[in-house]
Amino acid sequence: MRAMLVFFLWAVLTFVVAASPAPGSSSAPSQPRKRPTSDTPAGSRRAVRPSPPPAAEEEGDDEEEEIYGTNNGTAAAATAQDEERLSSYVETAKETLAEKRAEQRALAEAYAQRLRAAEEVGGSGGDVVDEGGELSLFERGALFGSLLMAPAGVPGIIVGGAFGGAAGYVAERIDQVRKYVSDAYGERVATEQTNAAEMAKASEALAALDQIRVMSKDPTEAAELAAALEAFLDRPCNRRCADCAVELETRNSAWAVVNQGVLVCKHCAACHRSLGVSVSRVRSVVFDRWDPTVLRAFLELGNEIARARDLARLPKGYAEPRIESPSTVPTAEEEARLKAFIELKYARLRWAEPEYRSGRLKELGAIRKGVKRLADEKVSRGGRMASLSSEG
Amino acid sequence: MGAVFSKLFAALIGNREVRVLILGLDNAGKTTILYKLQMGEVVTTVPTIGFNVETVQYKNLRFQVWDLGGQTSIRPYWRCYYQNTNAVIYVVDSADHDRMGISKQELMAMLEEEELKDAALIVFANKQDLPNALSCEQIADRLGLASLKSRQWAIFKTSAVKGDGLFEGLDWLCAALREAKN
Repeated sequence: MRAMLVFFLWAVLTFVVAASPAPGSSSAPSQPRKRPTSDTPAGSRRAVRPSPPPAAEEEGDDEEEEIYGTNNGTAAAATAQDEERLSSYVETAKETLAEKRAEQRALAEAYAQRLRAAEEVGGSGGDVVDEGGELSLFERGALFGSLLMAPAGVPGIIVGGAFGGAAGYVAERIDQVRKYVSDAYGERVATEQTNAAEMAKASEALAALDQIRVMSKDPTEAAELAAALEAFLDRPCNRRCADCAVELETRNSAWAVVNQGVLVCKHCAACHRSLGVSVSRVRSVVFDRWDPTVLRAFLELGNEIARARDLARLPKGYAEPRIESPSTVPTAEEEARLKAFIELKYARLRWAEPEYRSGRLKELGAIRKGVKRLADEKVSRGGRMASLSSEG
Repeated sequence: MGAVFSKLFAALIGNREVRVLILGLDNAGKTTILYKLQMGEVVTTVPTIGFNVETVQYKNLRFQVWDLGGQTSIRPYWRCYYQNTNAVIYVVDSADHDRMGISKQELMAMLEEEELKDAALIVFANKQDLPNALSCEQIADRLGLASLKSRQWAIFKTSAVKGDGLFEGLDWLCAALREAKN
């Protein structure tokens, strides 16, 4: 940074010197600035050099001699004059440079101040890229711009500073946005990872569940009912799916169709679920908590009793649908067959014991009618919820 | 300045994918809705133990739809998924009259969660194809939706197996999200 500054100051100096009127021109003698009038000021320098021979025409046609340097005497005089002029120029340049440097310093200071004020107002605090003593991109840009345009004088410094500053500001903001993007992205990724880890843990915890839970305020009743269900599940008839006869290996692979009193596998549970709650209410043995009343009624039945009831009139030799093993996913064909069978068995009661069948069908019809009436009544009465949303 | 940029970023990128949870009691039809939305097909669904997640593209919006299991023991895990959720689709089995009370309890408990305070709520009165399905009005009444304060909500009659009402719900959600952004 400092090296760059020095370089530009040097560039400024060179430019100023080069732009000034050339020494030795006709205008030189009329230079109003501190032009040494005698030899003395340059004496010290001259002492170093060997003494030139005495000049015959000191002030004569020095112009020509200076240009061509043919005459020995005049050439020496011209050299002396040159050196005087040059030193005066150096003096002038030094002064100009000092002035410019002061100006630049003031400008940089002003920019820094403005930036600090902006930071305080904006409250962006730590967001600015400025770290420690390093100049921010904004300041750097301003400084660079003003230095670049310094040869054009004060307006140049100001314009250059402004443009440089603007460019630096834009770069700074872009940097900031990039930071936000990466931060926000990182945060999102972290959240997703945490979530994924949590979910994996939750899934594991769920998979490991095999505890039967009964919702009862009385702990002895809950324990008794849970034990009764355990014993019920261990009965051979209840260890196989009521519909596809697949083995129910674990507690959490068993699903209870509570109103039908049967235990089924998850694929048959899926079919039962699609029939609606008036036909089948499916609960998990372990993933659901048991209501004591529901559980007591359920314990009265079981796959054996239900089979005698639901398949009483099943023709001999009828091929019931079967699934090979609990881990086999049924093919679309198998699934369709399973679904049709379960619907016929539980919703249409095709093979059910006649007395139970007529009673159950009446029940299902009544449920339908009752609800229909209720719904119609409510709608004709209502209309108050014409707009069913928060805007209404 | 920082807040402006983070908001701009969220508007441009962060919220591009709308996070939606499908919740409701077991056997309400959540998974069937998810796959009907995603594939347009009706699948026979085994009970969801854990979750299903799919991305649904609809009207220039990408919905990341999470379908969580509804069994009693799984419901407490719903809260693990609440963070950054833009909308909740609450599915009710319109034919399951006996469990409307439980459904209401679960819904209200969920809506009290701090993490869901800005989430829009869509209630799907599902299984309208069943003969004993309750109407939208009746379900809104039984769930106490009218009592909801400072919450964008709407209820739709749906039948996941027929595909009725699902996209009307998403239409409403698109509009609600646009409104919430402004």
